[in-house]
Amino acid sequence: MRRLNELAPDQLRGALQAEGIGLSLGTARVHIRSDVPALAPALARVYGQFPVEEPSGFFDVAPRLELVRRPGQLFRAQLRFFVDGEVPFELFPGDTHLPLLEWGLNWCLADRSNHKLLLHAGVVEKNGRAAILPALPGSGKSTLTAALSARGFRLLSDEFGVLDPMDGTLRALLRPIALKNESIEVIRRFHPDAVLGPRFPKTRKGDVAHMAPDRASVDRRDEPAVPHVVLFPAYEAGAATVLEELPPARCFAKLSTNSFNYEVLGPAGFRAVTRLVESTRGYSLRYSTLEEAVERVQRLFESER
Amino acid sequence: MSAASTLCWFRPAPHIVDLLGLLGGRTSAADLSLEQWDVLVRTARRLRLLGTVAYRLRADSDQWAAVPGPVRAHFESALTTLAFRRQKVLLEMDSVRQALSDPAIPIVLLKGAAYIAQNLPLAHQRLVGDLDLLVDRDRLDEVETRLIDSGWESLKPDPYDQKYYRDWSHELPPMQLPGHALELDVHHNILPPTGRLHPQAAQLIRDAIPLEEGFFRVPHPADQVLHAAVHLFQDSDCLFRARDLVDIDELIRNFGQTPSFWDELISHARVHGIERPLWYALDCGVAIFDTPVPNTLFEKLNTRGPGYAARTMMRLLLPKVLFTEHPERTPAISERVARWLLFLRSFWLRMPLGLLLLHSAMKLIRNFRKTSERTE
Amino acid sequence: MGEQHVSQRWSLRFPAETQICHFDGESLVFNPLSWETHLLNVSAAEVVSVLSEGPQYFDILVGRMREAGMNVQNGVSVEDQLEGLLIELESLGIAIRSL
Repeated sequence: MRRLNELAPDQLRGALQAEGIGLSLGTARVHIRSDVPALAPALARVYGQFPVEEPSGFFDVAPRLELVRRPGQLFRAQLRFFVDGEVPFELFPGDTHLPLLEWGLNWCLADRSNHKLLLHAGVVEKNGRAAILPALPGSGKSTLTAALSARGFRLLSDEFGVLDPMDGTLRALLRPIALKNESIEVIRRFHPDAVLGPRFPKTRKGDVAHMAPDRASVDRRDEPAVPHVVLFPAYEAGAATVLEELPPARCFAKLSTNSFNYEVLGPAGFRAVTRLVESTRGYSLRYSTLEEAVERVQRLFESER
Repeated sequence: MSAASTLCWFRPAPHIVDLLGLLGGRTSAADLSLEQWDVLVRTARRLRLLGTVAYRLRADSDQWAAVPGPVRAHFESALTTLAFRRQKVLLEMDSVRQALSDPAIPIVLLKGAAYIAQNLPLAHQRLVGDLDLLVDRDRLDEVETRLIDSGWESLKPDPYDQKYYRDWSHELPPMQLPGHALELDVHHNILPPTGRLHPQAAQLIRDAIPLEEGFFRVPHPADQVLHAAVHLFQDSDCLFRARDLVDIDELIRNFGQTPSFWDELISHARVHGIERPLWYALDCGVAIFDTPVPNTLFEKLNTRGPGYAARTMMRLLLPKVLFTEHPERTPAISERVARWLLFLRSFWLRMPLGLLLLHSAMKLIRNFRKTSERTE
Repeated sequence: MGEQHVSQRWSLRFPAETQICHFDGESLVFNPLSWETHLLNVSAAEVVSVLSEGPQYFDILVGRMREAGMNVQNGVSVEDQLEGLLIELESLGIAIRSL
């Protein structure tokens, strides 16, 4: 199967406009269509390593990103995210195609994934052992997740850490990592080979650019991973790097507040997080320099071998 | 029962056939292709029927095992969401019980909460958005005061909204307990006083049946069906509301096993003057879900049911309105027209013209004010 | 004030569904009514654990709490501390007075 970055730009644009393309992200499969010309090269960059699948079979989300021109706004096109006959949120400015697609996919996936525990977390893995990095926006979660993936960890997800409540394993929901504001330059410097998509200035989350998942992570997106550590990153300008073990009950509480649907799962959620906390160690990681933070995590993985 | 199906006025669109087949247990899950599942799940989600399909598939272990894994995930997700919302209703009922039980005020649970309190199969198949209660009009103020004393807050503090609800509506403005997920709607009737039908609220409360737990009541089984029928055919534009017909079908399959139910259904409909909505509900139920309704019932309703013209018109329009179009297609012109006509009908039924104009004017003025405040 | 509680019986409201998980020093309890999870201190967790064995009279509970190391604290008797905990667990919907 051909990868997305192997398609000619016109071919991809044509496919998006007509029958669309299928992408397997690990635990979810999506069908994307769009008449926005600029989306094709952006997708080819940030989903470049993903095989292009026939747009047939069953899809978890089948959105369509459409240009809308309203009378009186002839020159200022807007975008709408159309899914299953509905437009679940307001129109976006015309130049924010990829952020809207990603945001809309997140919204749909969150709405449809209550069979799994969804953590607001990055997940990376090495030697079969996974690190979960749950955090609130602004804590440097995505930056650290991107940095770890650049240093040999397999990327499973950035936005949604997907835990199967039945068997306690983590599943990949592999997507581009959305880097915001200063993080974009930080990652460019940290990993000059990183494949970044176009920079979208002034979205509702500030400037955003997406980092493409590497080829190895894409090829292994159907492999589950066993949780090993839970790391709560907290970026703090000028702070020294401090890794501190968290008492399990605190780790439990922080995991549940960093979940999208912990309460929805009810007793199954309680059992899943109990099991997760009992089978992992929890840490808080305060950092200001990415190099040091990554090194601490690498040491942590080596010391606990 | 099947007399209607010999010359059935309802012919489902192809993408609805599989959905109805699965709901009715006629379609085998093993026979559906992934493409068919794709359309089915998207259609069911939009019609708020995903949980119902999931519940019925899971009830049959062979059917459940035949659902492909990625599809089953969506059903499991829907069932988890349903269970969560059901628990939120139970929590809200618990809070209301604490606020109103001493001294006790007669409280009738309506719709979803009533199904949950009776633990009907339906309670595990539909999402409940808020907690609906019915109380005697004379005790409305007392109920409101005691709820507010117990921490509930009005979600419509705007004086115009407050006045509008109190003058023209059949419920108090919605309230919510801070930190709780559900809204609380306290009704004094099941239809607005401004509409064309006027159910006897006091009689509904008198006929209500106390629950074993000792505090709440639920409407008489006949009234539960009637409420669902007026909700759909008197108080809505029917747009994508197949969900409500599933409720009616389920209720009838449940309560219809009691022999006295059918006579009570007729007599209650007569008391409240809501034979027409009931007629439509049963007519649709029989045609779409093969709802088991004795033929004699239509005869008994006939003189007070809709006339020939209204019947024909509704049978023409409803199939285009109750279900969503295929997820990959835009609605046909005939569908748009049908939806628009039933939209107009709903206004005609709900409000006299003068009030409608007044209310629209007020909304317009207020929106205009808001916009101008923003631009200033 | 303990007088009136001697005969009072307490139990878990939903014994089969109340899950509790102990970690050193702190415990988490799953509330089967609200589906919320509460972080409990040692004493509150002990109360829930004792109640999970079955309904208990208040004075028996007092004895069990003393055994578990509850003492007079800042002049507050074990009875009053226990009563405070029970009322809090009651308001959360976890514990209930029974006849």
